[in-house]
Amino acid sequence: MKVLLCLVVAFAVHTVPQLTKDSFDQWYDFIGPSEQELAYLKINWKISIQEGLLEAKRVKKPIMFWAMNGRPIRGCT
Amino acid sequence: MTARQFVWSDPKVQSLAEQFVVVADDGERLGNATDAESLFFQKIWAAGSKGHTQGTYFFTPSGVLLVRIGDSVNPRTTVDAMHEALRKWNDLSEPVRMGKGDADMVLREKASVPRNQEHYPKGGLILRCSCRDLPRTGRYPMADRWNEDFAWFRKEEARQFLPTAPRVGDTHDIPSPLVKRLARFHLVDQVRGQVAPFSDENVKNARITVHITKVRGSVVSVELKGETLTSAEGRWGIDGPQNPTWQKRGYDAQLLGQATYDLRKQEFVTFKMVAVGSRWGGTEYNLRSDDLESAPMGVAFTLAEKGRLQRFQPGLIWAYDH
Repeated sequence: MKVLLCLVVAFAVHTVPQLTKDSFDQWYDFIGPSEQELAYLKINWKISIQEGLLEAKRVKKPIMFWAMNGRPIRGCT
Repeated sequence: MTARQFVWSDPKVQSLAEQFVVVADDGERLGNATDAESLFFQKIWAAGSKGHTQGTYFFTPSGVLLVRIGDSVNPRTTVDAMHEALRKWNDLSEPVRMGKGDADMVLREKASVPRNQEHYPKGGLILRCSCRDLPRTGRYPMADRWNEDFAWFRKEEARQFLPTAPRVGDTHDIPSPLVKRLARFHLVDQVRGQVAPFSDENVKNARITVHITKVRGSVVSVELKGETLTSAEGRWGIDGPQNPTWQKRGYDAQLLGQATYDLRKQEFVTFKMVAVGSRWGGTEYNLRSDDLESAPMGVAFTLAEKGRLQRFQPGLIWAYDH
């Protein structure tokens, strides 16, 4: 669908597409994330070092910690 | 978000991740704060390298650093580091891996609610907001980027999206402060990265009208239609905070949506809204310095699913008006 929409609007350089009742679902689907783009959520994320330590001590596994400014898992970074 | 897309979605990374407890959090805060968790992290950070805190760290529950790699969008680098961390882990004795120490201080301080979810508006309207550039002709940089955020409305604010006694055919303007919240903090250009909010003065237009289309029992169906225009001018950097120059930025958007609200439960059952419009300019960290001209961008709003990963606070909540 995203490819199709690209082709449909490809004639218009930087033109804002029409948002109508008919095109609403197409744009809603286009803008939202695809299944592939949400694949990172398949990881069983812990959202703090505290949570991670608790779980790591319980299951006796090493911790892999991704540090990123802001909110790494959801939202802007 | 690039690492989410290219590293953490990689099947090899995901497969190996099962051998770890995987954590993600704000490296900047942990590098500067003085609570037990931050001090614990700072020891691991100091053991690994100098420089900024961003990157991936592998360590034992006792706090022994195994491996640290810098900020990477290459899954191969991460896979190599995971293998190295597991080798080192296997070489350590149980007491070294699991021994008591700083980690126990962290656990004693454990909060009952995660830090970034403590102001969650229980029973309110939680919208997941996705943003993405809309198609243009030819090639343009970072066309595959997208980002997301959450918008929060308290329960009593969500009720104000509808009239007091909704009847089919009624129209109702959502109160201006609530539409402005969307315009200032969520109809912003964070497709490529972190963005600053618009000020109240930057909002030149913000209106969403609700049209009642159906009332069935306690469930009210509505259509939403509106527009927003935000525009800012001033001096700021567009490649980081250094070298501020005169800049402009804004977003001129049309909005359409559909939702259902249960008057008895006082909550939205469904909510879908789309903004399509033209953005221009850039901010310090949203990586638009090569893309300042007006170009189409969309934002989609949907009801957030249940679950703890849906409870992250809005990125710009510090500027919310309550």
